[in-house]
Amino acid sequence: MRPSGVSRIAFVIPRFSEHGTVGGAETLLKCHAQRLAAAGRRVTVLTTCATDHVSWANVLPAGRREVAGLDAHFFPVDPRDAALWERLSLRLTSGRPSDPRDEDLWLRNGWNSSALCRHLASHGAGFDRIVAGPYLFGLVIETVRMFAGRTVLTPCLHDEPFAYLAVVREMFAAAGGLVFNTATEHDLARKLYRLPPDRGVVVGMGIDDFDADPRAFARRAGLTSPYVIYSGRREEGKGTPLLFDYLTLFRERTGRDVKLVLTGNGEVVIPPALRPHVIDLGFVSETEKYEAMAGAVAFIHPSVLESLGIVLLEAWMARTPTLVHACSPVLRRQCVRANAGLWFSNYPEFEAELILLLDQPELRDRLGNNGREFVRRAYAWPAVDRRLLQALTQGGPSA
Amino acid sequence: MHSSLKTVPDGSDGSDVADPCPEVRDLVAQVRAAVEDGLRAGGYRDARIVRAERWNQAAFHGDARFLTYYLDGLRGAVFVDLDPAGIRERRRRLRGVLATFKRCVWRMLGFYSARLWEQQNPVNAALAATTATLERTVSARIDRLEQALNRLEVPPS
Repeated sequence: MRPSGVSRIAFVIPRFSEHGTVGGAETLLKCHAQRLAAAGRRVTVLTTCATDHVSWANVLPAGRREVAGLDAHFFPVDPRDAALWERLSLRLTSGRPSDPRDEDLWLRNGWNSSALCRHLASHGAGFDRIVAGPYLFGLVIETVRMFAGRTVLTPCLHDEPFAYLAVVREMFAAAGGLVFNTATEHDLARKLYRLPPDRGVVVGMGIDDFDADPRAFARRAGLTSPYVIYSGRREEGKGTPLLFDYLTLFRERTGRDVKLVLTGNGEVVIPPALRPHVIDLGFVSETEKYEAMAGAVAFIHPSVLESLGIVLLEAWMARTPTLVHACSPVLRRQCVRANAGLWFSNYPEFEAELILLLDQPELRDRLGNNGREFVRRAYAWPAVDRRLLQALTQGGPSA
Repeated sequence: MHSSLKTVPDGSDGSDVADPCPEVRDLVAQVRAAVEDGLRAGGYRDARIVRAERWNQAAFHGDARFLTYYLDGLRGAVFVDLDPAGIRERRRRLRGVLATFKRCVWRMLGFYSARLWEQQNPVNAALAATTATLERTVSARIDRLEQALNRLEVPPS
């Protein structure tokens, strides 16, 4: 896949890690970068020295080195007034019209890297395309400002208050190209920013085929009870407190001994009644994660702010059905497309659906197999590569 | 709990779905119908459910009927639980003895805590009832306004 005239590509990604996953959006962009490099493109990654999405502390050494097979340049994150940023975030998401001065101050105290932007200003013209994302970072907004025409924005957009800021609307209008993860995300962007129908390409992410032994994890962990699994960041924005409360209540009301397996990072505050029944694996290898997924009754994803839900695709590849929150249009639509997951709006629905999956193993198998076939059909790398190629033909070196 | 719990529509046009009638849509529809029946029969009249929904902020904003369902349940959850039977001891060592000791202390402090709960419970109940009434009043008003707006927007035949 060689789009004509697009051979030198920069990726501006706020966090970048060789091992493990720092975040879904970052993982997506890293995969795209690696695919393009593998196909013969000269790919350069411009990123920061931070890995943690809460502290944004500069923990990685600055400088240039090869990471995950890519030419990566690390720059320090600028000092910021986090308390001011929090206050401004509350004000900007209050529902009242926002003051441009507040937006500017909020941006300047967000996640920026002057050193990265200076490097980009000096070297940006040497790239045919600059792929930048996700959308809520000062350095991504600055990238689009500097090289609008040649920047392909991968926003990973959510329907959240920040998406309605004027500075974000301007960024979407200015970017030379737009890459979306799902048609639902694309629809949201068209609605919010009044984009023409042909603006933007839905690319997504490929999922490598794998087969995981559904009994391996339970055997290793000595588990004899059924379990559900959640993988990813544990925080209010991802809905994990809701999951913990729901599962605690489920166990109390139904008397079913269902365990909860967690993988991923983030502090967890688990209700005392649930604590003895949680197996927190933290960061694990992909193989361990897939095996844990394969043996689960269901993968539960309570987040409503998702633009793709990579973990859903992984769970389906592991033949595990999913339970998602009905207020996430992306995940709900994915469940329908795959015919592999159910959705709930409230606790009674959650309870009924989990009982359904616990009591009907043939239903679980059917939905799980549907999910696996769907992922192989829609998220195989050749199909994603074609769409990624198409996305890079957007925009041009006009800036 | 409110019997007409409307939940979020699935919003998919199905145009890119291999199976035009995915089984999951039917399953969710069946679950929702069963939950509606259960709500009408009082099967979910459980204060614990109200407490579990405290993190379900998305439904508050995304589901028009969620607030009604939540307030209905809240009425049953407004009173402070004074039953010492719920007192537990997490430490394994001498768990039974410590739990019994805690329950005894709780009962002995009844003369002290009763004054607190006697004042707090009516306030909780009044707040919940007022909020529910406000919600019904405002919802009814919005419904009437929307109907008036629809009449104005429909072109004359």
